[in-house]
Amino acid sequence: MILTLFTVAPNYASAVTVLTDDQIQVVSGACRQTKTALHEVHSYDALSRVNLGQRYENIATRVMAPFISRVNLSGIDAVAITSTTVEYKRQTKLFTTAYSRYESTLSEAIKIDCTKDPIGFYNMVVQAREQRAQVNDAVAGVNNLLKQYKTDFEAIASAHGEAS
Amino acid sequence: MDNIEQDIQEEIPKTKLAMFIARYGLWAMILLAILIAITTVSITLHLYKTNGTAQLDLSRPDYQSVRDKIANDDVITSFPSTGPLDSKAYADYRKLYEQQMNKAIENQSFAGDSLSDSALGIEIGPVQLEPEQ
Repeated sequence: MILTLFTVAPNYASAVTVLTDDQIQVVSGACRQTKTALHEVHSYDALSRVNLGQRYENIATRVMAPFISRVNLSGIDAVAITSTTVEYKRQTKLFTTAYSRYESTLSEAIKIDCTKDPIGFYNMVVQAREQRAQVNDAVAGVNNLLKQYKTDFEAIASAHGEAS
Repeated sequence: MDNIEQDIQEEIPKTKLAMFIARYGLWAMILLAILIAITTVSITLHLYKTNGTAQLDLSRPDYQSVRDKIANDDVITSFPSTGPLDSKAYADYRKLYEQQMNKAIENQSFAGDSLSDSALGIEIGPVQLEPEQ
């Protein structure tokens, strides 16, 4: 029984898209238009990556770190907010890694000649689409941690005599 | 006598080297300089590509269209890392943090479906997925 399960269970994690002849025609026919669109997405995503990366870095070094330092100097318990900051840095690294992976795949897709290899091209676009969604998940993770940090900050502020 | 012969034997290679340098020295130096330049440029380009710098380099020709949209106006004033934590410090910090947090959260650049079939102009309908061999 176990042997049967192992032999028939397909590996959907690494699935490839199978296109019909008509679909292949559509992909190769719209090649130039698709390439232009991909170039545009590539450029704008690079810009977003640079702008977001700078913002995340600035928040970590110029906003979070000095406050934690000041809290520690004041002898206030900063375990929660420090832990959130560490998690924030980890999550921003995940964002960087996810973007790097996505950009490599998108660049590969752009390099493929979609008139000669429409199936390979389409599969690469599908892969880039999935990896772009992962970049978005990483951004959502960073955003959640920014909100968590705010909650931790408010807890400290209200516990130490500040009227919010 | 033996000493003289030994000196001559030692002198011959030195003379050959001197003659070689006199004859080809300039060309040899140029060739060496070119080889060093090619090697160092190759290493630098390899590092530039592999460590992710190329992905962030908006000076590349591919990114010409978006180069002027880099957020240069976004200079954050650092929160002072020393000083008392009084109500004014908390209020100042809250203002600074909320401003930066909101700007970061507002950025939804990767949320859209820019790579969907319709956005790319390849509306091919539902596709069949098969496990990779």
